[in-house]
Amino acid sequence: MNGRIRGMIAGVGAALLSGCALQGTDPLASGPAPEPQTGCRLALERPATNVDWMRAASEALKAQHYHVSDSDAELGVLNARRVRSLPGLGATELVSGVDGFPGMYHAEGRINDPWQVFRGDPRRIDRVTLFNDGGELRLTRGTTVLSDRNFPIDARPTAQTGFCVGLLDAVADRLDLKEGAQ
Amino acid sequence: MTVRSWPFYALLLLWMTGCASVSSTPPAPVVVATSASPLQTQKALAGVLVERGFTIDHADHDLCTLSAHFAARPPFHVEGECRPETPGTRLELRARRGTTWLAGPRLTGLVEALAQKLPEARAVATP
Repeated sequence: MNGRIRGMIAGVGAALLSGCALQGTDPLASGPAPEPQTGCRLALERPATNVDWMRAASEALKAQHYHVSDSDAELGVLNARRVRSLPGLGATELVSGVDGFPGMYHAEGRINDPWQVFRGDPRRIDRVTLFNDGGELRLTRGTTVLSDRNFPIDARPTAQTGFCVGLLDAVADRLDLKEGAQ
Repeated sequence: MTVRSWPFYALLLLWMTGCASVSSTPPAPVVVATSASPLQTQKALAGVLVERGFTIDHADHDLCTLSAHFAARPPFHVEGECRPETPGTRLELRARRGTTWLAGPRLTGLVEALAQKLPEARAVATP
């Protein structure tokens, strides 16, 4: 009886822990590439050159407070970044003192702040890439959340349908407007 | 310290030297030879990486360099560099996760995907 309960607890524990381990996907795994979320690709009209869609996309990205960090019109690659602070999420600070007295010796020349009330906010960094894959625009996004001490709190690919549709619709609208004006 | 504790200190010493000797020099790259032009090769590499969810941090077709990032803890970085050859292109690939360089066999998935997009692409044994 006792053994069975113990076995059950161990089984449940193992299941929970393996769930954690399996959460991460390996982007370098061999085999076919994973299917992208619906809406994360856009078929380009024939006359749209790389420069056309890149102009439209950088306008659409700027409207969402991204800034274009790298581009290559010959390759058809456009990369943009956005850094935002997340006020109020400072509570995710994990370890404040290595020495066993949390925070006591970490005032770092500022006011003594034993309970770590006055600390910086975490930053959320979004990276977006648009790539012209043979007449089809593909969109990827990765998001990293860093604490004020650059500890990575969270990092994951975040090209979900909602974001993709919003951005690619804005790109398509701007391309149409431009063609309509000509 | 008693005489009996010397095995413990010996082990501790071994352990710490082990930490100190981890090298951060990049390993030999995985080399892919193809008959495609450098631009085609670079487009194929960007396509393969974007399909897998990477974002392209930097790409330059004149220098034929490309670096990509995958948001994870720790993050993946892939760097590609190519040189024109007669005929075709020679592409060097390196990858690291956080600060750890990944061994060549971890990149076989990428090389297989590249081989489907590029004519006569094959992994070359590093010289």
